[in-house]
Amino acid sequence: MTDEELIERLRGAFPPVPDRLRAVGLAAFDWLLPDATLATLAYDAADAPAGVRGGEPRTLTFAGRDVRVEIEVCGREIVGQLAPAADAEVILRSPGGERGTRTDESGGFVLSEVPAGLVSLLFRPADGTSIVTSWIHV
Amino acid sequence: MECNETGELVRRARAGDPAAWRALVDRYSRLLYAIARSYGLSGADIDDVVQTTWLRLVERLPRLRDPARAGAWLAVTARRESQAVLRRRGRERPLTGHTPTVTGPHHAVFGRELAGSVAAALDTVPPRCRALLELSIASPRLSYAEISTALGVPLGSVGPTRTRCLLHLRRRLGVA
Repeated sequence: MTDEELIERLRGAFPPVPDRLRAVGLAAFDWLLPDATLATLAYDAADAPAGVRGGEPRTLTFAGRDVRVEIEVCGREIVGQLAPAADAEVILRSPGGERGTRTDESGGFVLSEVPAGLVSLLFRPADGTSIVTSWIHV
Repeated sequence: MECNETGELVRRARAGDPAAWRALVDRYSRLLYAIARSYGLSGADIDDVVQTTWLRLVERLPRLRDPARAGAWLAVTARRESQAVLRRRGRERPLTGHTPTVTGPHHAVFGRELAGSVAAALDTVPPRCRALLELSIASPRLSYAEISTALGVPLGSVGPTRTRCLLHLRRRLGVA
C-alpha cells in the first residue's frame, strides 16, 4: 500500500470539518474593508499581569497610522475616544451585524448594549476615509 | 500544496473576489479545525478560534506582506487564538491546570470495516502523530511549511515524522 493509499483511508477516520466552521469562514469575507486604515490592538488591560489588571473597566488601546483609539469596556458598554478628534460615524461591528453612533466634538463616543463576543469598531470621518480596529472579544 | 496558488488566491480575494476567498476557506478549514482541537478545545470554543482567525485574515488581507505564506499565517493565528481562548476560560473559571492535548479518539460510523480498523489503529499513535496525520489528509495538500507551523515543529522534522507515523500505522494495520 502506498502512502497515498494509506492517507486516503485515513480520511474517513477523522471527524469531517463541520459545515458551520466553513460557514463562519465564508461569512468573514463580508467584513473586508480594502481601503480602511487598520488600528491594531496595542494594549489590553485584560492581558496585563493579574495584579495590574484590576477588573473593570477594561481599558484597551488601538494604534494605526496617524490614529489612536482608546476604549473602556464596562459591562455591556463601551466608552471611547478617537484621536486625533474627528467628527465621525462610529459603527460597532459584530458577527451579528452592525450598529452606529457618532463621535462628539472631542472625538468621544459611547456604545451601549454591546453584544458579548467578537466586536470591531469602524470610524467614518467626514473626509471620506475610514479607520477600523482589530477584532476583540468583549 | 502550491504556495504560489495560495498567494494568487489571496491576491484575488484582496481584490474582492468571493470565489478566491471560498477556495481559501476550503483549503484551510481542516488546518484551523485540527489546530483548535489540538489544544483540547471543543464546541463553541472551536467555533470561536476558527471565526476569529478568519476575521483576522480578512482585516489583514489588504496589507498581508507575504500572500504565498497565508497558510502559515493562519496556522500561527489559530494557535494564538486557541491559547487566548484557554486564557479567557481560565479567567472565567479557575482551571485545575491544562495541558494541550489532541482531542480524544473520534469514531464516526463507518460503512467500511477497514475504516473502522484505521480509526482503531489511530488511537494507538501518539497525539503528535495523530495531529500530523490529520493535517496530512487536508485536500488540497498542505505544505510542510504549513504543517510545521501548525504543530510548532521544525520544518525538517515534518517529513521524517510523517514517515514514522505512517510506518507505525502500517504495523498496526498489518499492511506492508
